[in-house]
Amino acid sequence: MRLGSKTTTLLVLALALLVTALVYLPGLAGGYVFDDFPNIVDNAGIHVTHSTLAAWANAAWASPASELQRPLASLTFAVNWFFAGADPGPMKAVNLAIHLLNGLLLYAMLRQLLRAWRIQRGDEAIDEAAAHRLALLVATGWLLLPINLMAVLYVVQRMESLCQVFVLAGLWAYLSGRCRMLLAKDARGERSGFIFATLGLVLGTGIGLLSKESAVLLPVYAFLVECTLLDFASANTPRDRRIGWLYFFVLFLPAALGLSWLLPHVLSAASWDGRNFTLGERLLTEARVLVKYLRWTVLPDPSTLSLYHDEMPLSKGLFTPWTTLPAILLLTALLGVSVWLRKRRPLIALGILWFFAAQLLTATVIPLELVYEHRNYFASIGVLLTVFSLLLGLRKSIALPIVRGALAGVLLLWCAGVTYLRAQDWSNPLRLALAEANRHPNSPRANYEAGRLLIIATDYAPSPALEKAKLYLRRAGMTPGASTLPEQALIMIATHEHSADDIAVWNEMITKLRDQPTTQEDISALISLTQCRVKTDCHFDTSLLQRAFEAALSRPNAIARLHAAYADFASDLLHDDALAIRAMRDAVRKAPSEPAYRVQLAHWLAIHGLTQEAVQEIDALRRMDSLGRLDSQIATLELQAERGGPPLAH
Amino acid sequence: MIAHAAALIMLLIVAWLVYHPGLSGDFLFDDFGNLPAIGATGPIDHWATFWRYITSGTADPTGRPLTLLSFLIDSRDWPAGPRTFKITNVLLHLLNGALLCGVLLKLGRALRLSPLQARIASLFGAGAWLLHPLLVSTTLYIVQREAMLPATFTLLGIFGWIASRDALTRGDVARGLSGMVLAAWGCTLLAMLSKANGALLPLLLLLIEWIVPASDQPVSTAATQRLRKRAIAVLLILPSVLLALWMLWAIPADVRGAAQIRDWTVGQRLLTEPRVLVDYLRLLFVPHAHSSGLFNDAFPVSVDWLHPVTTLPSSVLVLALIGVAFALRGKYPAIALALLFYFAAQLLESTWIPLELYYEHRNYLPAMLLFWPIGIGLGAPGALRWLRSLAATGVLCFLAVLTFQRTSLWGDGYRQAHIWAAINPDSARAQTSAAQYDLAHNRPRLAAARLRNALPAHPHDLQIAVNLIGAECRLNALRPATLTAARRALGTTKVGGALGFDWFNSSIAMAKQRTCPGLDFSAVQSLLDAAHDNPNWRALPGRQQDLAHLQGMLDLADGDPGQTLQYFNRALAFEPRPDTALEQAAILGAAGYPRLGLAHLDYWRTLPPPQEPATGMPCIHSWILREQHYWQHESERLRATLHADAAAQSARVTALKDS
Repeated sequence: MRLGSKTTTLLVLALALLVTALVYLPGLAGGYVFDDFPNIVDNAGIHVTHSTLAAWANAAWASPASELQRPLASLTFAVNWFFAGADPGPMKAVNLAIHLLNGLLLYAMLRQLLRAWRIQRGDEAIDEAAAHRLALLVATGWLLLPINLMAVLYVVQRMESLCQVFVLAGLWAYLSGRCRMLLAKDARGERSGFIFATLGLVLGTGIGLLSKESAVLLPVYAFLVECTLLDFASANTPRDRRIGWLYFFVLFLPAALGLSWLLPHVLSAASWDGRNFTLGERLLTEARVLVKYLRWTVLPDPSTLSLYHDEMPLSKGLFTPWTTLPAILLLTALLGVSVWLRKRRPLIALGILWFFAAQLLTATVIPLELVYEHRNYFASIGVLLTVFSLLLGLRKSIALPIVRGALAGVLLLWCAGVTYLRAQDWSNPLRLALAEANRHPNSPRANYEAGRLLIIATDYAPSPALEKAKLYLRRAGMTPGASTLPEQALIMIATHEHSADDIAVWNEMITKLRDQPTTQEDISALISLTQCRVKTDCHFDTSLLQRAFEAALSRPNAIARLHAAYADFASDLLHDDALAIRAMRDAVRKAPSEPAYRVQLAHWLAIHGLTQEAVQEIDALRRMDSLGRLDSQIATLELQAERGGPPLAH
Repeated sequence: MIAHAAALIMLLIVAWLVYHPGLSGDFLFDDFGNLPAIGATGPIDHWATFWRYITSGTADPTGRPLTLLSFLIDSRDWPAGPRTFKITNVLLHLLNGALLCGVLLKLGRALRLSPLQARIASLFGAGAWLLHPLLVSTTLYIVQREAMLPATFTLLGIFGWIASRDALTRGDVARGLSGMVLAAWGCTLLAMLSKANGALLPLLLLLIEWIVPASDQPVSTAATQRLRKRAIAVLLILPSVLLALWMLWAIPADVRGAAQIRDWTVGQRLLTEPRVLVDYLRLLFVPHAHSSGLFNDAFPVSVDWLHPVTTLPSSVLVLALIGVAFALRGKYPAIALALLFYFAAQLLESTWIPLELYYEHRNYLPAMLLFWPIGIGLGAPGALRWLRSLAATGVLCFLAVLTFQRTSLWGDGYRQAHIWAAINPDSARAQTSAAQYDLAHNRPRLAAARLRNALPAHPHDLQIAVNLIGAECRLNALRPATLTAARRALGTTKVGGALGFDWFNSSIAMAKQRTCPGLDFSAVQSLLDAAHDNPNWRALPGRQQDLAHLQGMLDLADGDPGQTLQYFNRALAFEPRPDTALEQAAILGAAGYPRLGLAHLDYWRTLPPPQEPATGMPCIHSWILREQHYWQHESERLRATLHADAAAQSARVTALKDS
């Protein structure tokens, strides 16, 4: 088989896509997990059922995930919802289609990369057929790579995969423009190539940002290509100044501005308040995390790959745990190797550098959670590029072709097999949860999820399964650093069983809330308990929940969502709207651009005749009312404010 | 060429569609001050009322008769609906866009661009202007037809001037010179009859003549060159110098005027305007769907070079842009012309004449050439032309979408008023306007809350206090504190005379009908007393006349017609104008005191006739009234009615006695 011919290439690509689709097929049957709930299932904003401009605008700005709101990703979720409702299957199918598209884009991008390099270095550096082979293998391997399963079957991670569509397309456009610049016969040709390359970077980053912030790394990836392969050259100048200026404007200037905005945030204690680690601990831990990522990418096995890695111990110092320093040394050595090999084996250097570059946002100073596999969606390209160019080289004829070919084949098969096994795990939520909990007995999230799904399966009916659920939840609750979600679930079981032993659990929960940083999961637990009590499914004493809230609020720098949850609690269970208004004012003050809090605050103000303040809140909502997304809520609030109501009892 | 025309027609169609949602909007703000003149002396269905109406303007020395004339297209009587007015405005905007496209094409040819480049540039330049969201507040604000018509005549003037100078170059002296006179002086005259801004046309033509000189091809003799120079000197330089002298001569009056009617001085205005211009440019080059709209009374005044801090940088930026334009005029004449045209066209409204500080409609004419240089760049021959054409189309589409969003807002008065109030929380006008919409939609509680929110920041602003009284009356809950606030505002405000007059009239009626608990005769009297003590109004005879008249009205409602006659007499003595005398006499007659009405008219005869306006359109207006014996007829008719009423009264009294 000759890989050079177009038909063969197309056949191989089609085969790779087909196999990928087949491998993923069992996973399409699965359910929603973890962050899918706040972002999709419980996010009313994206539940578009009637197609109006206001509904779509509201959906676009509905993401609770970040400041930039990720409107494009949210819109695609809303489109999914519009056509298929809550069914996770179509959501996952669209994710799979995006992944396949990314595979094609990756192939095209790598072809342009190797072509540009060939033009720059001349034919002797790399053989056309070998380049083809390498691009095909990397793309196929990447499509099948088990660590990338997260971006496909974990619905909300479409944010990541969709963002990478624009990163890969932008990189492809950039490299195409660079090829034109390198081949240009006159200044005009160079200029048109330059404009094409610039547009690739700018548009790729800009549109990608509408899905996820990872897109800001596109200029970094392109810059690393210049540093290793292309040397900033164009056809007539070995170092084209324009390219330098381009990076000044699309990379260095934005990076400087971004850092000057980011650093004060990162260095302030308040931003680390929701985490149980400090900046230093995070940096130390991430060294070990990156080594794990490398292992999970190159030597994937189903027992270590997981949705949750929250059992990963923190690095408190260079020797606690002892693997910290070796991990740092290993990473330093890898970086050293890439610099050292930059001239002789630039492709290997580029692969390593891409891996590191892709971790710049998530594995450094920003106080995100520590470990997530989906963070390797682009990074794994770098790893595979290095691995396959080491394995197969860039010459047409290689030594021991059969051995190397077989090795590559085994690698691909292994990837396909592991991914298939994972996809089967993912085919059923309960099966996934039990598998994860049993493989990761120290992961509070995995154990909690298993307990939660067992509760749902039994619907609180006394049974061995419910007992098992309690076991999982207790194990989850006892893990150091675990959130209060397990206690919340145990309280719900206790209240359904009318058993008296829930006081101990309450105390456990209150202690945790007082002594540990309040996480989003803790707030979710408090909200769930409030709602359970409001719906009278739960019968616990309201004062216990109030003590829990007060424990969380006693910590410094409570975030807006906690205040808002407390406000709802005060209104719904304490029937104290004066307290609710005070708490919601705190929420609005801390998250002034969140309309939901203002809507609720304005509602309470309106129905208690505090019309002047209500009008101010309504005006603030109007200022946020892009494309009329808040129109109907504003109209309702105006009616309520005009109607007024009895003044607050003090 | 056909493609060019087709593209222009497409642009016009798109512009019409984009503006269509705005046609359902309401009258706004100054519309109410200007348009009722249409029916002021009866429906305009014969020449007598026509001449009275067309000379009735008081803005500018010219009274803007052409603008008034154009309103007759839409209605010959008042009240009328806003829709036809808005349709005419939009059609005029489309006409201006088409004219602009022609002018830009001519300018492009004068710059010797390639035909294709000139066409692309003219289409983009005109299209971006036509579809720009900032101009919505001119186009859909009916009264701003007075800003659009001068633009029409200015464009005609530029077009005619360039055509004429080309004719002169070709040796066609008669056509060339007559065309130049028509373009420079004729169009300037027409533009000035629409709004005084039109006086800038000769200066703008001079800029074009300087930066984009006529080509000496195909033939140009020394004689024609000499002729052209003389024409420029007489037709352009002379009126520009006259305008400059007039502006300089008016400075002392401007300084006095600002002190009387504004909260800032002329010096502060000069410091503030660079910031205003920079903000205009921001809105022009970073277009927004929602800007602050008509309510810019909260735009902060610069008190010195550093407060606000943007004052000095803005001044430097404006000067730098002008400097750059001068420096680039040889190499990039289009950029130089666009910038200098922009600033020159702002000369009247953005320098020392004490007009209000900020209005978006002031950009209508100045912004016309701003986007043309970009069009020239996008249409230039060279690499990736298809991509640049695509970008040009994309920009136009983007502008169209923003404008559509804005016109949709302008088509919904309630939403518009409330969004403006939300965007301009510190603007008393915006808050009042939103509150008035609340009241019109039967939401007095919302109106009252909004006005109470605004009151502390604007203690001297009359509109907030009196509208708050209105809202609280609707809630049957007028608070003493609100009356106190209204007294404070009436005692200290500088502006708001007309508003106060109308409001007092309706309050007196409310007090008489007892529709608002708390607003009785003594409350209204206390408010009138506060207004009487206002030091800012004491020097203005017109205001004093209003206050005496209102006192008379109050006494009439309170059942003391004798007192009313005395106050009416006193009011009339301040400015013994016939309309005032007749109105007061008619009021007395209608209230059942025809003899007092006749006595008032007799008193009027003893007063010296009011001073006739010496200059401008008001002078012509009063001449027309004299020629038509208008007041004579009116007063005779009123006398006859009053006599008849008095006779009827006597007959009734006799009959009563007899029975």
